[in-house]
Amino acid sequence: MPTSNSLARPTVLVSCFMLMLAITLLYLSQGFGRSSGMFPRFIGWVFVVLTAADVVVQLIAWYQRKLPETTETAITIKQLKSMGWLLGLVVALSIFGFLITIPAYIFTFLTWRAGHDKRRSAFIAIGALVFVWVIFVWLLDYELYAGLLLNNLS
Amino acid sequence: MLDSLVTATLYLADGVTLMYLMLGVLVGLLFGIIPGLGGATAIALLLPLTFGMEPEQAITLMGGIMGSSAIGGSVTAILLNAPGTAPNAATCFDGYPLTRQGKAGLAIGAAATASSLGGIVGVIVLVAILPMAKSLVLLFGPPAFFMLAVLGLVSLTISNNNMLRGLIAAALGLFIGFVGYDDMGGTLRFTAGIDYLWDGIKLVPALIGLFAIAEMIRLMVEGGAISKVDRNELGEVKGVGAGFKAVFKHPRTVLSGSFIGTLVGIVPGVGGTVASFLSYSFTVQSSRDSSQFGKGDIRGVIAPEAANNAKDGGSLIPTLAFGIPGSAEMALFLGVLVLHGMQPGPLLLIEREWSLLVLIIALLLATIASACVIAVATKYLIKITFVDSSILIPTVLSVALVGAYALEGSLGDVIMAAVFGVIGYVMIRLDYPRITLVIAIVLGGMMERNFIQSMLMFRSDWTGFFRDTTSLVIFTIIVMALALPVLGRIRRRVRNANV
Repeated sequence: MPTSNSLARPTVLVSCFMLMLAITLLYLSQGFGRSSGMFPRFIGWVFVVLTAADVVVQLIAWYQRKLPETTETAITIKQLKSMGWLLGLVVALSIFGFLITIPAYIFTFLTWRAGHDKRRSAFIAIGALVFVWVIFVWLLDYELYAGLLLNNLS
Repeated sequence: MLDSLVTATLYLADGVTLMYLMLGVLVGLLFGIIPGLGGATAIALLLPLTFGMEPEQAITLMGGIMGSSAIGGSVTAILLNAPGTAPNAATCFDGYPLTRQGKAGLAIGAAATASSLGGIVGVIVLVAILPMAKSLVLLFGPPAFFMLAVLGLVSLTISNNNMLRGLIAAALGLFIGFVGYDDMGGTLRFTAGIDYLWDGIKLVPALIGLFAIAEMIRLMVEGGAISKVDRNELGEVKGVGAGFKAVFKHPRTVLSGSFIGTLVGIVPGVGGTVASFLSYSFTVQSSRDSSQFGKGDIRGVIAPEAANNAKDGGSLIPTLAFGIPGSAEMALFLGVLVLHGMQPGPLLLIEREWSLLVLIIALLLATIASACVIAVATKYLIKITFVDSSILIPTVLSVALVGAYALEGSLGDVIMAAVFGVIGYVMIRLDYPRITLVIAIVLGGMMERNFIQSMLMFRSDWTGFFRDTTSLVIFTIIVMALALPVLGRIRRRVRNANV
């Protein structure tokens, strides 16, 4: 199983992306007025120099074949899936609101992705919902988002 | 000072406040014990809950977490050879061999006691230095404050393995801090036409994303139980009392570790990992008989743990006096202060002295309380590391996003937390330090304000930074801090080439 260290695999592409980002930010900084643009322009130049140096370092490492091997496809797929689960949660929250999404998401995650049995998953999902309701709604008096669907229906 | 001390003590004697303190201690211990999470994640998750509290109650809760997470991390370092937090790594050297010898209780008792004593020394130094810091801070003008912030960022990157990527993360963090409406120039910056970004990137959703959500994505990718160690390898926890006594047989080790920890903590950005390793190596080098280090010498547990907890007191000095956080936890704590309308800096030291004393006493009580909890309940607490991470992931993700939403009731904050979660994970993968990014976001506003004020003072002549004595001294330290590691590397290469 990869650890966070073994996952650290810098590539030339990432360094080039960061350089492009730095150049874009510096370019955008030129459009600000004297006071608003002074510090962003200063940091922008520093950012460009640093990212350019990183590209050079990565290119040298690549040339000397010291650069670690590229990410395995299996890990990439796993990462994309993980981010998909996060995206799914955010989308579901915006449509159905917190009080419906939280138990549904936890139940789905535990049964579908982790392979836990339905009874245990339901128990954990309801437990989490009760926790959120008690802490945020009952004790702290926050109003939790009801979701686009319920907002439109009401 | 005495009045403030009495007020703070009476405030902490209140039942509700004590409950918050104990809650902080328990949460800090649990997050400290779970490898990879730590105090910063705990503070990020609990930060939104503090919104409805009195500022001092929030400070107490956070004091509880900060005072206990370091001790929690030592338990897994000793029992499983898996440090709960990075600074606990040095404890593994002798802690785990002691477990293998059946002396886990001795090591845990010693770690908890040394950690508590270190915390107490750190707090004493903090109390002694804070009044001096008041007058020292008033000597700093805008150029010196700007240079100090640069020093904070630079020293953070030096402690990172990849200095270049650390500096890049700092620059990126500053740019993130620029997003939104600029009060001074009256301009919208980097908002990409999105109304939500007019107020800038909000700190709390960003912190929740970078710490809590990013760690959950990492756990999702890695899978399995939180601890990667076989449950059968877990040692018996007996003889905690002997560990307590062992610490008092080595007062020199405790004191040297505590002072090293406090001193390292004062330097912005260096952090607990350097403190504990420095303390460990100092103890090894200054011992007459160092043959048992690495094989289960109790001093090898005492030294890093005393330093690790003592650094909290030290790192509160730059955080409170200058508004420059020394670590991720301190950056998050700064977020708590700002959330409750307290601006760190000279005014805070003068106007809210009693609130700071609440924090100091809370830290003190938390270190003692957490040591007691560890001594009694280690074998129960450790079980959490064997929980399947798949149960933790959806629960923490849900609670984290509720927390991000609850602060301002904005769905934009939920999206922002998720975006920063992805950014945080990518940073873990590609070896960009998240701590530097966070501290740069926190410091961005202060740096820009002082930079512009300095440039106005110097009539746009940047050489003015070198004419201001304090600024020049700090600049010299920055140059030395950047140059020394590079020179050391060159010297090592030359030596290796000659061999």
